[in-house]
Amino acid sequence: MNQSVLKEKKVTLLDLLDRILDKGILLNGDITISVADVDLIYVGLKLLLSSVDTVERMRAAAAQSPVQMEGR
Amino acid sequence: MIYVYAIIDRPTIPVPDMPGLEGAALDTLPCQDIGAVVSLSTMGKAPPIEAILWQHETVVEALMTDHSVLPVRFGTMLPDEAAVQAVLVTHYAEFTTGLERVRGHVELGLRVLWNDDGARPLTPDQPPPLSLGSGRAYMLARLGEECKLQVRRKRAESLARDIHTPLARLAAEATRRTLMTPRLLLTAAYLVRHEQVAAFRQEVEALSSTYPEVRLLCTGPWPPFSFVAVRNEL
Repeated sequence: MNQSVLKEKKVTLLDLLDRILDKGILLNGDITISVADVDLIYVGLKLLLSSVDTVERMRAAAAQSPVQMEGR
Repeated sequence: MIYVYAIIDRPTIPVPDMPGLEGAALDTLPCQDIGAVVSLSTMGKAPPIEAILWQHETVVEALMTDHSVLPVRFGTMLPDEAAVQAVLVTHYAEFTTGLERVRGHVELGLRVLWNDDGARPLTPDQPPPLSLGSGRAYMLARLGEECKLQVRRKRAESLARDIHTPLARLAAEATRRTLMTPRLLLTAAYLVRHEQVAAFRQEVEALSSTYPEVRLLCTGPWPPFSFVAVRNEL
């Protein structure tokens, strides 16, 4: 899997989490997720977001100095 | 317990050919001309792990291909069928309004990453260099930082607007948030007609070329999660 496909998958997962856990209709039923569960998955979400960020930085660095990158 | 996936614009439908959570069969519970898509839960809880989240999503996406749907928040359980019926009756007007609002539309997500220099983590609490020892120098340094921050925020607002506006023009409704993190310039959702999705993606491509300093990441089509009334006061 190339990097951009991988990133797309991560962004898609992030977007899913943002929607399915935080949006959508609230009925007067029980939301069966505990606060701890949500905390846990949001920690994962933060990690994902920073990893997307990291991929971007690496790509930008590679684009700015292709010669240096090859030379190493 | 009854697990609820979505409210749909029909009382009953041939349910999608796929299992629900816990492998349970999908079913519909009718109320006048609308219905709820549900499955039985013996566990009484839905752990928010990736595979299960996708399972909920996949059911709603399958419904979305032929129907107007209001996606329900992940993890929603009601005690029994009567309780689901009661919700449908109580909120019938809201649900029918909501179903009309999203009919023929899907949701597209957009994240815009900004590759400017200012995205390095800002550290306002960092002590000033020792050479700036005096309190006055310290305050000046802090002020300078604050100014830079303000300038960047202004640039962000204007860039976010330039990207958001042409996309919002292709959408019935839109939501946006700017700079949720220093690098995440724009987080937006768009309610787009089915037949406009291709045009929307083309516009995203065009904007990518116009603004090389940002990276546009478009996801979807999603069920219209961001365009349903979130809270039903009870």
